[in-house]
Amino acid sequence: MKSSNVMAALVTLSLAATAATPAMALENEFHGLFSARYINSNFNRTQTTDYGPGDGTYDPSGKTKNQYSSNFIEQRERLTYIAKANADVKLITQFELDYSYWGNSSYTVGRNQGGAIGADTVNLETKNIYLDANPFKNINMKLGMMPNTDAFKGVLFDTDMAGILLSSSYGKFSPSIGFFRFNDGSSSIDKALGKKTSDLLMLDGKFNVTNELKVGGAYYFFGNNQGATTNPVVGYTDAGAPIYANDPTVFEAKPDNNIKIHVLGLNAEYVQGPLTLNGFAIYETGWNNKRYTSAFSGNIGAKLNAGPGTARAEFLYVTGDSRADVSGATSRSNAFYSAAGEHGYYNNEMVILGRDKNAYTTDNSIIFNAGNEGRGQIGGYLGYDLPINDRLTTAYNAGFAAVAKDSTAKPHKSNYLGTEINAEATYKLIENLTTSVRAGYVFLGDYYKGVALHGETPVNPYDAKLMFTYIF
Amino acid sequence: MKKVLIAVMAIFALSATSMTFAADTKSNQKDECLLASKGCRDQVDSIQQKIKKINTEIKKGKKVYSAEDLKKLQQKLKEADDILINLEKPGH
Repeated sequence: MKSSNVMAALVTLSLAATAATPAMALENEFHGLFSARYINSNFNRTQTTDYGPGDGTYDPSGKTKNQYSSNFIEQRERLTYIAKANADVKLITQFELDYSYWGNSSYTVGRNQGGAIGADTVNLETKNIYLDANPFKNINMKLGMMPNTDAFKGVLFDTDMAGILLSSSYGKFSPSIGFFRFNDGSSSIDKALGKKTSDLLMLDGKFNVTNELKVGGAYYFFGNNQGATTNPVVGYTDAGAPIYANDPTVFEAKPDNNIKIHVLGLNAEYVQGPLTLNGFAIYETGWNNKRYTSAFSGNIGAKLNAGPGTARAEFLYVTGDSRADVSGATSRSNAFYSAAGEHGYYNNEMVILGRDKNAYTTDNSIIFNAGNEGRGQIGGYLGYDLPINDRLTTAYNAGFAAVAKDSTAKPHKSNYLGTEINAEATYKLIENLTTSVRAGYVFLGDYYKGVALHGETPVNPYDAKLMFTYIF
Repeated sequence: MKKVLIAVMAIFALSATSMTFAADTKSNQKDECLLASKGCRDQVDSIQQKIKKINTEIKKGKKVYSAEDLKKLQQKLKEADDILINLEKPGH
């Protein structure tokens, strides 16, 4: 054996040994989810949603009264890797691999693609990469691209964002402060970063008054002075191309954004025996470009252990503006501001009327954003969770929703959007693997009366899903 | 030939650990790890098992754990819950 080969062997062996040693010192955790679901719907993946201009928000206007039913299978995998050096520092990384529907494409590059014969597609999405550390006593720091949700059931933001979040705890008081950069479009305008940005500053505090009562307060600031040569991006197509806001529908050159929204909010939770009450109140003030904004949102929720199951109730009110769709309006506005498309109110457990907790890349609803395209919302929701046995659980929900303020430019017959009923059954097949069925149906309100093609009224939408989910 | 030798040595070095594990099963015992994926030495908890374990420990309360320990366990429970929530979370 030549001396160089001996050296190579020694290096290989020592590398193998050193690779094994640090691994012993680390706590490595892998977790993940796989889900495949068959969807039958005259709502999702039709021209009133994904294949129409209202992608995200249901829009049957000018479409045929009846819709073909879509039949497709959607698939998702999420993988989380946590590298923990010790109790005070860990790195969290989460990936996502989706097929928006089986049969969509193969041998290509793009998120949600690769579900067709042959597969072989580059479709790995990186959702999160962030450090979670306790650098000082009683201080937790999260740094990087992390999931972050507001303290108000997701009506403002609930998404992945890059930033820093510092949290602490002093007895019964838990404050936190964070800064997040949503977008930085400076490079194309000023040829230097950090000048034209969209950012979030958040201050949150929670206080445990007693064992039964918790109260919280928050101040958020949304600042955005980015150049806006097109409408804001509200989502992405299956091929990864941006989807722009529909209002106005014609893209036009615009001056830089001038968004300075101050958000003040209070929340509370009270637990007494079998009853849990919670809710919030939010006031927004500031400038949304040329319109001075003064908006409000209020919520109350209740859970009660009643009989063999749990009864639920939710109410949400969000102010609206009758001139929200008027381009260039300069008057005072009551339209509610949120991180567009990057938030969701899921507590109402709706399938079609509100955001669907089971939505993956196919994600549509009648009320998509909390501000409801500037119209606001008034909604009441009732539900009952009924476990049947160790393996089978069921849930039943009903929802009633209206817009808070109709458009003066294009008025509808009524503010009432519709009534939804839905039911769900989840069965544990084996440990970690469940199968579930969820179906929802909406009796459309007069808001949609006569809006379809030839002045007809669209048929009531429905959506049914059969899902298999493995979590480890 | 020399390259093959180097590769064999590397494989041997890397597989040394698993050989140790395999040697743990006595000659008259079934290897339940191979047979039924049970009792593997490198087996780790699923997120559901982790949550269950932490809850079990929290229920032991102050008889076993100090107030400081219980606070840490509550924090671990929140972290585990967050992992599960983030896996199941809807979105694109």
